[in-house]
Amino acid sequence: MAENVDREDIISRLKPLLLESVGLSERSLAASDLALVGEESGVDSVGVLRLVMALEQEFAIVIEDADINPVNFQTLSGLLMLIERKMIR
Amino acid sequence: MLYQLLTERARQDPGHLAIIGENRTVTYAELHARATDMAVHLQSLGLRAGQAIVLGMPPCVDFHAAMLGAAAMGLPSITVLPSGKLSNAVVEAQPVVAIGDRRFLSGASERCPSLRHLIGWQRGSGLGIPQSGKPLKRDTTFRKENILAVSSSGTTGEPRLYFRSAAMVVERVELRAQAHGIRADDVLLATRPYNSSAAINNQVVTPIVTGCSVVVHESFERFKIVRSISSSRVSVILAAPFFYETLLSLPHAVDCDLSSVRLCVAGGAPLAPSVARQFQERFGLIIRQWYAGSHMHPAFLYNAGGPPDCVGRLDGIFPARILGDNEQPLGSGETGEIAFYLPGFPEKWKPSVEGHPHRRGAYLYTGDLGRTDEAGHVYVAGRKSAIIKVGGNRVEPAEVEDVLRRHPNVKQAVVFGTQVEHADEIVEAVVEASGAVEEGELLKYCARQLDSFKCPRRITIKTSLGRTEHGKISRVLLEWAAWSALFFGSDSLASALLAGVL
Repeated sequence: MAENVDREDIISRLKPLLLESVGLSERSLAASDLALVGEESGVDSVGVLRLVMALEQEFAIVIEDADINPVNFQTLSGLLMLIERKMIR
Repeated sequence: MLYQLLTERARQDPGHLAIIGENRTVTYAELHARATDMAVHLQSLGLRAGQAIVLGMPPCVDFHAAMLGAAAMGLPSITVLPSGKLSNAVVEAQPVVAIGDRRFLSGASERCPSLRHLIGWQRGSGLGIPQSGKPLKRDTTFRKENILAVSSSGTTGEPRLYFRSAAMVVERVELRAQAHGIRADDVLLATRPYNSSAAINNQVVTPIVTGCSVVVHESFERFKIVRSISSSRVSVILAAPFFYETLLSLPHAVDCDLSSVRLCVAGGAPLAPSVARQFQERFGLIIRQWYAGSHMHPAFLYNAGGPPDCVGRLDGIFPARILGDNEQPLGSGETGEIAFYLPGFPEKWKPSVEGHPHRRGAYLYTGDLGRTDEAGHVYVAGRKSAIIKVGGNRVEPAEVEDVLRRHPNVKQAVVFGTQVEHADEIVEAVVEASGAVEEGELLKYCARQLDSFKCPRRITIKTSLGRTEHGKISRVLLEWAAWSALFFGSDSLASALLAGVL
């Protein structure tokens, strides 16, 4: 369980995962809110699962089925908050 | 033919479970009744055999009922993802009926002027058709008529639909079921969405042919699916390699009871040896590989008992060879193209490969590279063709290029696959712009017109694409440059190399 969650550390570790797991570009990640799932993201269910598996391995967390929803995975900020919540537990 | 098989199943063992769904379980008698309701309804619409219907539903009881009901009327089903984005090939097939939820029907009717009837489906409520309970009155057994349409590139690289007759589909499924030893007391797990012929064959038709049961899920959720394996006592899993990676990703603390499973088969993409090894260590199950599915019909290779990373033997039911550039067979250890040897095929299958799009002379070419060991086991080494394999789905670069070129500010586009993990790929594109355009705009443009697995993950925009001495764009150079950028980072030397190459 992490007592203090360093957001900057999470971001620095998250970005390479987004680049490698779902192939998002640097330019896309520069946007503060990015649709990671849904109609206009181009990331399909397989891509989302690849990202989930990479996140679990990188941050030593478990992402439940119910966590995979637009609130958590639609935007980069939503994803950050999910990871923080999981790391604090 | 398919409906007749279902009728026979319902007669022989009406109470046997056919489909175990998330919210509903149906016996063969109940499935027969629902399929008959659909057939009667389609008949009332005045449709005739050969007119296509497009199905855009997730895996569920209603999908099975709809497709089997259509088959009863000799209506071929074009199965697509529920997103409602229909390719040109689907539109050109001029389907007259669409079945799906409101969003799917809205998208389909906008895209497809040939549609005359829309049948709604709603999660929890089911299909919007009368439950008449009436028997189907017809005097035709549809055997040679088409019941399924599958998408393939053929020899041109342009995606098109190939129609499969009931006889072909059933024969294909019988071949595979026999190879795997699937019995009526087996329980299959449906692992794929229903937009591929592999999914339809394995998950919709196999139960009808063998009498087994199938567990279906409307959405792919890891924990839910692994729980269903033990709760429904799944005995057979036919899946893409990514499915087994997903099971491996589950935390060890999670109870993954696979004790009921007797057979795991991977197909649609090469299975990484590391995945096979880890899976066996964790679950005690060997994953068998199935190679060359629907687009190579009827040929296949199946590793029933060889080394885990081989896909079968040269001397299987459909004999194969490894061919060199001069189209002569190579010896063991040498890498060449995997091709099936037609003169060695069982006699009953020879007529079906006469006009096969991948046939040249005495061989059926797979587009894959492979090698053999001294015992004749075949190992896949990579791909020769341009097809991109994304999580078990096949993506035709030409289809994505065509979409990009239709953007008003794109002059030219080249699409290719970049390997990310094990044997999986992502779709990448490089475009030559004719006006101001941003990557984000093009990504959204593609997402509106293509199924998500076909959408490029990255699009590089250039003012000019390099040409070879023959004036052609070098796909190979672009792929190498993009791979370098991925490996070294987009703001590194590779980026400069990319600029230099182009």
